[in-house]
Amino acid sequence: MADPALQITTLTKRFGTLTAVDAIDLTVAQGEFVTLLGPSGCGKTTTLNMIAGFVPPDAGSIRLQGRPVESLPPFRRDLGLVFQDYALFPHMTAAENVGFGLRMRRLPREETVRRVAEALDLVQMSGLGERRPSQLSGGQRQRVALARALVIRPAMLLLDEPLSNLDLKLREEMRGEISALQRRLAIATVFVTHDQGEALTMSDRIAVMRAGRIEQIGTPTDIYERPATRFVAGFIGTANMIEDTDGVTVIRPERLRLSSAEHAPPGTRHWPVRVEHVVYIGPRLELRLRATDGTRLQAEMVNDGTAAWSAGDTATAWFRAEDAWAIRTP
Amino acid sequence: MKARRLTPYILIVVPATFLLAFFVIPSAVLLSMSVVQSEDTIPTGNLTLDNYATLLSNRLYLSAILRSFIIGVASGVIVVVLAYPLAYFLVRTTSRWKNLLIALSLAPLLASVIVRTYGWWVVLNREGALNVALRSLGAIDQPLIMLPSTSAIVIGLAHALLPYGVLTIMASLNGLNPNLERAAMSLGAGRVRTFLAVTLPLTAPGILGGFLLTFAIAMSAYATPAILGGPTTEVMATMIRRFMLELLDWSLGSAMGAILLVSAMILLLLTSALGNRQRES
Repeated sequence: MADPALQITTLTKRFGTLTAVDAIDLTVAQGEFVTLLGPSGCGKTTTLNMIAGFVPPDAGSIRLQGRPVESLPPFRRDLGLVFQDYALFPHMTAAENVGFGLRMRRLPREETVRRVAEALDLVQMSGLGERRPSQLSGGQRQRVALARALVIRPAMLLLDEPLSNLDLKLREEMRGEISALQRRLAIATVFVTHDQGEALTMSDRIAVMRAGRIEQIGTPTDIYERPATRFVAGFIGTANMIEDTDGVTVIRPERLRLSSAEHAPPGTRHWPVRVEHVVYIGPRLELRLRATDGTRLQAEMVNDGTAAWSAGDTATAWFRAEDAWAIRTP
Repeated sequence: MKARRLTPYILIVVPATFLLAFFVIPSAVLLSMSVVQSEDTIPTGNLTLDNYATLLSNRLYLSAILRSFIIGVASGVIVVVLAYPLAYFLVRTTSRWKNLLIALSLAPLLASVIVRTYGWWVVLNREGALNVALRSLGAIDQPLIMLPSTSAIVIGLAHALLPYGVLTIMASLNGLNPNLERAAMSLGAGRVRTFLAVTLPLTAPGILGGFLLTFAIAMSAYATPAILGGPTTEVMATMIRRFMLELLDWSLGSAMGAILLVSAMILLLLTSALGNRQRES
């Protein structure tokens, strides 16, 4: 297919005097997983709601599989949605929930039954179809919601912070499962989250949003290693931002090295520092450093038994030019 | 420590005393009066079920009992049917007058039942507003006789009790997760199908609650049937007054009161049991 799964052009939404979404452009290719990442109020959910058809845009166009949909109601857009609270129908069983979209499409009974069973199987929920949502755990509800969205074979999948109601362990497990499922079905997906970890691990591309605009769009590597703005550098991961005359130099804590010698390798930038605090993470150590000129820095290292730093130590912090990234302010 | 342990008891003592004094004791007196004979308001000692036999075998009394039920059910149905669209609109409207509209819908609660019922009397009587209007339009030659009638009682009660229906249904609509309707729509359900498959079944407890509340109040209402009804449209409540104050037969009045109390309770229990079963299944 030549058309992208989703093409958004100059999409805009105003609420009173607030411009929630400000003329954004976004293209999602067939089978691509694109994340809208940003703090709350950045416009990511409003964007998703406009794609889904719940919020009418003030300007701009939305094309799904090449077809303009701005004037179509939600029930004609052929999208699979998973909500933050799953929004399972409490008065129906898991199987009835999954079959809802097929019943609305008036599919023959046998086909509905077969496809519901397949969908439940896909999310490893076979055998639990007769349970009510209230009898399911958070993770199981999540799976049913996913099956319900996928069973209608939608043009694309929209996920609205589907992991934020799960506990940490389950969240990481579901990340992997959703990613694997999405790749297997090769279904174009827009995923909304404020969690940078989810964005980095699951996405083909990430659109970082702030105040209604897309600050940067790119692969996780682009976003993390070559941030376009200070906001992106600071929002995704931790960054040492060293002020220069014409912008900032971004150096990630894991690329900042520490040596006990007074001199760093030639050709590197370096500071004499004092270790102020060591945060013990387990597999990693986080070191809060202060340079003699007052600059605060953060270094992170693998806790492999060779690093023996403690608060009060003096050291030299340095980095290689190729490990840093410069953001030039125009 | 000791005071803290006593606190819950102190907290229930006041309402418990109130209920005991004004509900349990009168109900007990009522029930015991209903199973003895009495002469001129003074009970005699003999236990008997004659009072009930009299009430349930006499056509006049039976029709009053039946009419109370019909009025309760009809008022309940009308209130729920009228209140649902109104409550739906009030919950969903994004108008900046929303709060004013809600206040206006509940405003009838501020006027006394007597005033509202006489309002209907002014509209419905032989020389009333409706007859005058219809006659001046040439729609009728002779005035319509709308009072006294069971329909007039139902209209008056449904009007008076509409706010209760609006309140209970609004509460259940407000409690509905808006993402459920969005989910249904994203799965291909149009507005009508979304309403029928999701909104309506999930707000059924509100509908049931509004119906039961209206039913219970309408079935035992006295003022409206007394004003908009007459000798041909007696209900249980007006009958009880007649037994007590005109015929001075307190035992018959008590038996009628007991029938009203018990039948209302059975119906309430049945319906709420039905509601619970539906929620569990």
